[in-house]
Amino acid sequence: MFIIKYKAFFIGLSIALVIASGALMNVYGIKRGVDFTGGSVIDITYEKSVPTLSSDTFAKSDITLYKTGDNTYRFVSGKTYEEISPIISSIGNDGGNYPFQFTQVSTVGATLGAEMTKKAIIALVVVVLAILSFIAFSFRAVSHPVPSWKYGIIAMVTLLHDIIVPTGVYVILSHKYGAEVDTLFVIALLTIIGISISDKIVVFDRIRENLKLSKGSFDEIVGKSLKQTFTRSINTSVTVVLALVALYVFGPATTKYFTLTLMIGMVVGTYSSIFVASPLLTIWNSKKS
Amino acid sequence: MQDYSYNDSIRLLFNLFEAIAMKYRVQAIWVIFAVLAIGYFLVKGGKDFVLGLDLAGGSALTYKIETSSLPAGTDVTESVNALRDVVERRVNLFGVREPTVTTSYSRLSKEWRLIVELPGVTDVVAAEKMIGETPVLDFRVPKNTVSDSGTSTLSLITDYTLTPLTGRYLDKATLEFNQTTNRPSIGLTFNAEGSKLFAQITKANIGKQVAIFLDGAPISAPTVNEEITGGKAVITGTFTIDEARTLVGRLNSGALPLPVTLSGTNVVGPTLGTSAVDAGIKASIIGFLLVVLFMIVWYRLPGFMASLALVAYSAFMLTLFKLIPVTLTSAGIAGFIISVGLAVDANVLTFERMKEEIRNGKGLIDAVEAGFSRAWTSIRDSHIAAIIVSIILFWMGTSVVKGFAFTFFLGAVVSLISAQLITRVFMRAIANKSTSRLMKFLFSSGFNLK
Repeated sequence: MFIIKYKAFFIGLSIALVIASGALMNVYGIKRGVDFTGGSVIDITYEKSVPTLSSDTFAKSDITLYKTGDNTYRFVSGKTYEEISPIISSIGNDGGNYPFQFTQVSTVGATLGAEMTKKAIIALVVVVLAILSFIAFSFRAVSHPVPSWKYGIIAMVTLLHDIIVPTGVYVILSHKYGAEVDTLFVIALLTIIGISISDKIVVFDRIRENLKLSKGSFDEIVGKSLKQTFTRSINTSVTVVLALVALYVFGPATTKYFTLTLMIGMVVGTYSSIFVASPLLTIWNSKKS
Repeated sequence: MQDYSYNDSIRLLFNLFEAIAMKYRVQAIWVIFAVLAIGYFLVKGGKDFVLGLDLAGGSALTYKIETSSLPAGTDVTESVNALRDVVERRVNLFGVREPTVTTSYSRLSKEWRLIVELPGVTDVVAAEKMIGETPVLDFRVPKNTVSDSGTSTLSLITDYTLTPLTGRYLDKATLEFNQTTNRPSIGLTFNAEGSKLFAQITKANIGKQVAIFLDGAPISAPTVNEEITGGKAVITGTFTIDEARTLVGRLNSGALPLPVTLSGTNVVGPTLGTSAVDAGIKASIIGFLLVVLFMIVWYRLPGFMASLALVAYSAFMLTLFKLIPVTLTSAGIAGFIISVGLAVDANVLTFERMKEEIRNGKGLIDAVEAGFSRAWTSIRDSHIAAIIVSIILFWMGTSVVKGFAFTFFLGAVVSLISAQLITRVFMRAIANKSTSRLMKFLFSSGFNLK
């Protein structure tokens, strides 16, 4: 199987992607949204003509300005709605010349934000631990030649890869378009974990089956299993991505970044299931023997 | 763990199913009828989908409840519930359609919260006023350190100390007029418990000033001449008639038994909500069609059958949304769309297995059975993983996360059933002993990866 043969290339590509994402996070930083830090997000829509707002004017009042559409702007600030709405109204309206409406207002208090951060971290850790134990449990019968917990560890490592790469892309989005690391983003990451873990389970499940039924070296069996699950992995990924593309193109504006993150996670997750997880398994096995 | 064995419960369900109709094609027709009936209910059944605030437009306000002001030993839950009732009454006064007022305790931050959801109210300032400006009424007595000369007028706030008597013991408030000065005053009538407390307080403070505080500020501090047992008090302040009238209205709707501070708001304009619903429906339909198209192009006849199963799956899910009812949000719809992906995956797994069996020389009927039984462990495990994630998400949940987690969870469970029962019935109905080229074409798929 070509995947096992050229595993160095495929794994290398993943490592490069992870490093690039890490570098992006380092350079731009992860911008935590008001969901986590506390503060306000205000979306406005201009009814008739749209003025060109300068971000410097708002920066003085600690308000960050983003142009989110032809006639829409977004204001993000660590302050409360009461503090910033008069500023937005007076500058944005420019003496009644440019009437607009507040289309969405969301404010989060500092305590609420801190709690959300804690919750998000706990959720990520609990999900990861639960999945790890589930795989170790589910594969407990197959301990030869690779012990079941190694499947779990490899799934974990590739999962990390599956969430680091979309986060790297998200950092670019957040730098350019003001996308924030909010609750929806955390849901997206957790969903990626959920979907891509099932991807890995399907491949591992096939290896588990072939180890019982077929003869051959471990590498050959892994290669055979990959070949058998290859079409399924790609097809499932294609169907989910098709649904997500529809959601991205036609869906509500509020879930656009969410959908995009999921899409990237889906592609990356499928890639790592096929090209990274199983090759890693063979490397770990050969190191041992 | 026995490989390829079915989960006992699935087998039981399936046996039950088999008992109802003997032949696979009859079963398939039964399923189609059932789906049509569900579809009819979906369209004609009087119930509407319950839309979340982000789709319907409206405001959600989160308050921190200050329970620290409660005297030690008070039942906090009871006070918090009393607060919820008062806010509910208050919100109802303003004629908001189907508001929800809930309280919750956060273990992480160790505080009580009040969450008010007001569909249709998109003016955040108005919404805040509706709840936040409810007066907090309490009675205070002079601290022991203050001389009880009775000569001082309204003293400093710090000179007074709280008594257990608060607005929650108020039975009603009325607008009255002083007979000599003709100025408006407010008559208070306490309930039985409040009357008892008021009697105790007045008895213990004869000759002293008992202050009435509104929203933490003293508005009146009459000197007590004797014990008052009738449970009535009068607030004489410098009110205008309008002020007095609003105050009476607000006191009657219930004074807040506990102070609250706003800790979060979320307001979605009506136009944004409507466009989100339209966009969500459009996206769901187009996404569904794309998936169906792909399934039919790649998997041909089985793909078509799986698409029928998907229609059944979606109809079933939407019916559950109406019946439970599930409050639909953008995140919830996203969870549903992803669960469709999960349902498709279950079919893809089965079909790929079937294809392999056919390639290995099995007849159609055997290949169908083997495809289902051999794909089972993968389907089971991947669904369990999805269910684990959704349960953790729900348990962690803020409302946005819960909305997503719940539809995702429902989707995973329904998908497990639909992939094992509905698709199987359809597949069995079309599988036959024919070895014609047409059947072979219809059952093969895509390109063969050699």
